Amino acid sequence: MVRHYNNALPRPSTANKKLIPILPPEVKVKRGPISLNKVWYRGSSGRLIVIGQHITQLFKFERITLDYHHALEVQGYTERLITEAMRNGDRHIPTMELADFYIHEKQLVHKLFKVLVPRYIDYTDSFTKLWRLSPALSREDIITGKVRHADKGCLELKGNPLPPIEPPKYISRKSYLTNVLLDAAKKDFYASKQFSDNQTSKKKVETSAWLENFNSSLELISIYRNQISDIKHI
Amino acid sequence: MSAFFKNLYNKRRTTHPFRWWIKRKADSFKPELTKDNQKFIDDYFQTNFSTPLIVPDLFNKSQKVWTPESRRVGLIARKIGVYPMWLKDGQRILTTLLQVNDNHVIKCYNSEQFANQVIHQDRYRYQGLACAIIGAESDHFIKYSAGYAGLFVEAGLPPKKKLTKVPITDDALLPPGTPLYATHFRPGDWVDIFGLTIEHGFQGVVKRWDFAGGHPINTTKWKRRPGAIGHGRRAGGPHKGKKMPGHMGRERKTLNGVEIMRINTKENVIYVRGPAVPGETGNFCYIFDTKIIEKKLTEKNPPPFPTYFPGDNELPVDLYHPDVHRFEDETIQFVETEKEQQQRRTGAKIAKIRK
Amino acid sequence: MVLPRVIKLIHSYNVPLYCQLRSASRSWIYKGGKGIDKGKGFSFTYTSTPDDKRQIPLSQKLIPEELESMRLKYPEFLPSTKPEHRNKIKTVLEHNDMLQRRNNIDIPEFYVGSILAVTVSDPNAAGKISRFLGICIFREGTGLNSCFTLRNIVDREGIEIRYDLYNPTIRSIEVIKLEKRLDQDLRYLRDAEPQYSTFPLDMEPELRKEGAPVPVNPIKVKMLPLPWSIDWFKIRYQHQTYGIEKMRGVWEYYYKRSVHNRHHNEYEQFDLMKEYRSHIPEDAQLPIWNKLSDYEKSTSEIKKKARRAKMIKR
Repeated sequence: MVRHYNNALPRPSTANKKLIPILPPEVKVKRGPISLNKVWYRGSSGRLIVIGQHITQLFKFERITLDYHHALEVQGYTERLITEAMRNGDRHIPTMELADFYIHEKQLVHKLFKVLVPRYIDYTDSFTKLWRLSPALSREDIITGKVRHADKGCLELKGNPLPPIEPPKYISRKSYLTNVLLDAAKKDFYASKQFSDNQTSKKKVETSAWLENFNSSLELISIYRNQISDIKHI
Repeated sequence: MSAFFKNLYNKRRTTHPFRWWIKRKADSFKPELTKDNQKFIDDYFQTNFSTPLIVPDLFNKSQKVWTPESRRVGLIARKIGVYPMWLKDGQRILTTLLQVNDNHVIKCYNSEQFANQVIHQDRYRYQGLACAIIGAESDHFIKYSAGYAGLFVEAGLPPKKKLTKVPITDDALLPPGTPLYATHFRPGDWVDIFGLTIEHGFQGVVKRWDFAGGHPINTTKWKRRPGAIGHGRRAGGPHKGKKMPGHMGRERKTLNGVEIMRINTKENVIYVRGPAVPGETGNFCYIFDTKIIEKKLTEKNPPPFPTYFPGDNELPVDLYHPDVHRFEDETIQFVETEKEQQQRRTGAKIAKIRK
Repeated sequence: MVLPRVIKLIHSYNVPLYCQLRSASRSWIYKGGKGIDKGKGFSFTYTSTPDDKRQIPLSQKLIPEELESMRLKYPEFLPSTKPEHRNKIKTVLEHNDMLQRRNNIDIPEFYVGSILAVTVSDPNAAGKISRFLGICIFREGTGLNSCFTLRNIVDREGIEIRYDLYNPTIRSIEVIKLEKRLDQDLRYLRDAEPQYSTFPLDMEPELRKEGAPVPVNPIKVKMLPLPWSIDWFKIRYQHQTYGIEKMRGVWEYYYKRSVHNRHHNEYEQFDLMKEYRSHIPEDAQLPIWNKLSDYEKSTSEIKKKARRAKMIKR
């Protein structure tokens, strides 16, 4: 969908002003900001105040339940806040203003710099985790088959002292039906002639020149893919 | 009914596919597999679906002679972006990049077989023509249903994300599994492109039909409205096809007569003049030879028929149109003609005399 | 061999190597709003595969100090901040063309506020060459679209010319005075006193030591009386203009007007995600600078040989 804004003059590019680390792929960032449907606030300035309220409760209790799409937004802001605090430290004035704006209880500002920053110093993944909760369906909804997408989400900071939501998984999957059937089919396939022929004839010149090119192009594709992964963007 | 109203009835845009198409997606059931079984599925896929079948006899026979009445196969590409380039005059043009990714021919029908499949209304349009099915962008077969993946078993190919039917003449038939490259075309050829346009949503009359509207300051309550709709009750209300607000965009549109400026053979990218290719970046585009009579292919410059088959001679990485300035060349310099030199001297003499 | 029927129900997992062909259809491309080809969603990731995970912790900087100068020399090599206009293969092709053009001409390092002289081969000029000198007002664009404007006053008339960096008709770009200003945007010079934008066309280049830091010029410009062509104090246009001398009455008038505007966000400086979306992160910048440092090393040897050949000839 194309949206047109009334920009009288173009602005200079800001891609190079500051060095920001990438948010890890577990954190889902949408292309545009999501509106939090609250009636008492007005505009984009009020939206930041609501996000600040969620962040103070997160730092206080370390696990909160929210609307799922609201939690997606809050996740991004918390991670950015914590990385700024980690990189710039305690005495940097702009980070102090940020912490002062987002955190409404002043005890938690000390918690940020003294408890959370040393906890997450060696992390390479995200600092938060978003769980998707099933919706609260009524009896009529279940009978008629009316299912909506998950309305609620649970945001928590990693390394919290509360009991975990999901128990650690170690269940052997060998007894699953699909794996049992595939194990049986595997034996026939690996013993067959088709597989051994393909292994030997991967690089043979059998039929024609263009077939050779097609097979060699598959190797080039794997080589080129490694080159592209070095460039690693866009 | 006049031709104007007929075109309005044929407009079709829905969110569900045609009902005679095969169900594409597999059921959303995700069991957990062991690593050995994951490897087994990869090996099975690689043995049976990685190398397409080809018969060498057909390959040699398919090198046929091109005639001006024959119609050859097209390509499916994806729009990557827009990019400026300069001509040797110093003029700046914009070019769109279209990437041809993993195109293969999946099936071919003769003119007799195709005539049995055609709808009654289209029988004159496809009279005497054969058909080829092309696919683009291969994907893992586990994502798709068995019916859809079965279409590709004959050719020995992995299933594709996008398919089309292409009308061709009997000369240009190809065996299933032949790959199609970007060098199917050459720089200097003229080409038609069609695709789905950008999505605008529900739009008003000023944006959708370029109505004038009203004055923005000196009016109240009438600024972007259509005004009068009909001629009264006697006329039976507003006539069919009246321009009104509604959904705009996401329609099929063709761009006729587009020139190819450059081809990159390593990554199969076609550079086309102009930024007006329909759709956003990441959109599928369908490329064919033109119907415009003045820009059609001629016998003096016949194209690779039925497609480009790579031989022993390797092509260079970039192929350019003769008017285009290459970035590896030196800067452009203009040379004075004798007339201009004489004018400059006489102008200097006159300026001296006046002083 | 006959496989059991259960394979129909199996769904996707990691797609194998030979399917991840060089395609433009990576997960972060937007797949259309409404209609048949509805994608699952948009994930704003620059690294789409799990092999490219970050190994250095997030508290440490990725880019080493040697490559920090590249950020300022080659700002047009970064891609655009709009994800709609981005593509991996397009940038690779674009970078190759840009580096080939740089083999034929020296494009120096310059900033907004520095004085440049550009010679262009022009078919309509006398002698087919034209030269213009001026102060750099504005710089925009990414890749081959990058451009800059120069401003000067000639015969009591203000002239602004916009040049493309990678235009093949440009013969040379000379930097006469390298300096920075307090703003990134000097278009308010149109309504300033003319002394701030006049420069003689015969100016000689200034010598500068290599490795010295770039000086910042803390000038505050005096403006002509109202009316202006554009409200330069309007906050929607630019958050703050540091380079204008405050005029009595004008500042408060415009500031009050903009506060009541619906689109005004007084806490915009605290908006972290807006900052993230308008920047390009470190992980995406590193491979570009690595590639350019390799290019610089390879070309420096060629240039040394050319210098030696010149000295030998003399």
